[in-house]
Amino acid sequence: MKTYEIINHTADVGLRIYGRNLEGLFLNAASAMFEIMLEQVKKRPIFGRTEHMRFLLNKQGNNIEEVFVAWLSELLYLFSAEGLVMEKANMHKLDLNCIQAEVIGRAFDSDFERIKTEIKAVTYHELEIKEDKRGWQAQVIFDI
Amino acid sequence: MSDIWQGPLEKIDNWHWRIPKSYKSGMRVPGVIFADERLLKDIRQDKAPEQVANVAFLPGIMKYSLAMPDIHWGYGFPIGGVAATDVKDGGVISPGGVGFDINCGVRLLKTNFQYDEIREKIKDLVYVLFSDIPSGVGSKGEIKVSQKEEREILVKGARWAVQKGYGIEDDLECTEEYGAMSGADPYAVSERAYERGKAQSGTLGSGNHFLEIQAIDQLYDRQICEQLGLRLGLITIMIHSGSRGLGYQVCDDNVKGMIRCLDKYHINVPDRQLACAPLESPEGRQYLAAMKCAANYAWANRQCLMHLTRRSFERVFNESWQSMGMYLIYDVAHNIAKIERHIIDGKEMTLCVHRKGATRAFAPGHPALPERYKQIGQPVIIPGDMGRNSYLLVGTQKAMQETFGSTCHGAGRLKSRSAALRSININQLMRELEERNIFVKASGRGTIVEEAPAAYKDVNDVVDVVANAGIAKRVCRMRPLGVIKG
Repeated sequence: MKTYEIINHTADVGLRIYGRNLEGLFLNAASAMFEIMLEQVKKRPIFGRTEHMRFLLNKQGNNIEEVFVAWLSELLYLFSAEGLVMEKANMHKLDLNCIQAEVIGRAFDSDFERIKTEIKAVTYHELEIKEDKRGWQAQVIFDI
Repeated sequence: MSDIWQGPLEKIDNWHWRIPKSYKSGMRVPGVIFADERLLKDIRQDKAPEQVANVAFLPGIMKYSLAMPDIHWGYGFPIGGVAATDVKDGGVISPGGVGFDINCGVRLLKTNFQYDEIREKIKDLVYVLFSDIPSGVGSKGEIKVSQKEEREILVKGARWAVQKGYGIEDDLECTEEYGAMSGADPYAVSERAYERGKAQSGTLGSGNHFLEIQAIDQLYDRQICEQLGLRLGLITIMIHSGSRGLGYQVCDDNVKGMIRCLDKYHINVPDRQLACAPLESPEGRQYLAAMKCAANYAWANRQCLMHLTRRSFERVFNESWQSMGMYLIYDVAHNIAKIERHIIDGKEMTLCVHRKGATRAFAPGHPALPERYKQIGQPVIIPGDMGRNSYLLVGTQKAMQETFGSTCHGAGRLKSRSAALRSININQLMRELEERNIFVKASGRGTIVEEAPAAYKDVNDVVDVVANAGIAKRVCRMRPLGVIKG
């Protein structure tokens, strides 16, 4: 099952993201965002030392859209301020008004990867999150 | 998502098209788009006209929701949108009407060089500038600042840089707002915004940001050119950059806060990205004070970038920048909200003018202009894409009457980045640019393709419209020689 696709937007980048459940949707959205931002320039040595980072995240919102934007915005912030590239996350709590998660990732390392697209922000424009028989779907536009 | 827009666009004359107020219930004023028939076809290709209509919902909006001919689909406001709200009568300010890159803008400086004198040096210059000027995403500058200093930058703007020795007093006179808006409150800026902006002063940024060496290839107003010391074949330099991570975070923080204001102040807008608050509310004041900080940061940043450019030229030519005549013509913001006085139906009013991908274009004699530009009007700098042209214009009285003293800001995108990546071949593009004697250096090949000329409207068409409509006057045109892309 594909986890996301790029949708057309004249100036920015739009994504449609899929997930079997809400948790899957949030994780797939985060992976998609990092995939758009970064590209590998050199293979990492298998036994190399990679610095790992952990952050606890706790965000509230009035609805699922706000929680979704808060989640991605926080990851974007952690990336630009702390250099965190998310690799996985343990969701402790996720509902229509709240997300609590432990985000684990590596420190961005320009020896192995480069930023191909700068995402400035996650926007609310045409934001849509819905549940259907196959699971959850979200549409989001990033300002780049 | 890019179906042709089917809404009503009524022809007013060859350059003005109206979206009637009746198009959507909730519109407080009509929309007006500046375009000719040809550009209008492109404009209908995306949702930008719908966004013009959506902006017309903003409480306190005066006369019309405007769009310049370089309009294209953004988020909330269209890019190329102008909207003025009445400060006294519950008018709102919307962070989405400014954008994430607060005070993204351009500056133009001249030199004493003629193209023929330095044509052999263009490649050297591009390499030196590329290595001296930190560009690309997340780039960190060599100009380091402490946290205390960072607060100072947010208040003093470009003046901070000049005081550090990165420029001269004259540079400030040639910068919109003299390089700093008053009323900036560093305490209105969140810690997170400081964290994101840290160490990015003096960096170009990425995406459509650039530094370009150009030559003047056409003069339109010889008298103004003479006054500015500009002649055919003269080398100019253009710098396009903004407020970097600090500005993005200021916008992000305030959009979130203002979504709550929609309920609190009973505001009905069709897009959450148009979240706003009355100017005379705690939230409105807080955003304006923080936005000014980000704007000042951007002016300091462009001042630092100009300083680094002057230094690179000094290294290459072994001369002082003064003897090379590297003086600033002007610096304009094209993502900003300003409190300005305008005449509406014969009455002077205080308005909050949002320019989202639009440039201030004040007429001759305007009190905000420095003495040297009182007679000719405010210089307006219009960057085009890397393969075509850029322009120097000046503001007009008609812009004061029709557009709250505003005009276009660039070429305007035509193709999405992914469409550009799909349809443009990098090798062919590089060959074409080389054939036209344009040398480009970017931190990634993808950026060059995404920013390819074919991804943009022709800036010449855009400028034709604003000149014919009279909301700016052409002074001269430049063509690119060397381009550094973030």
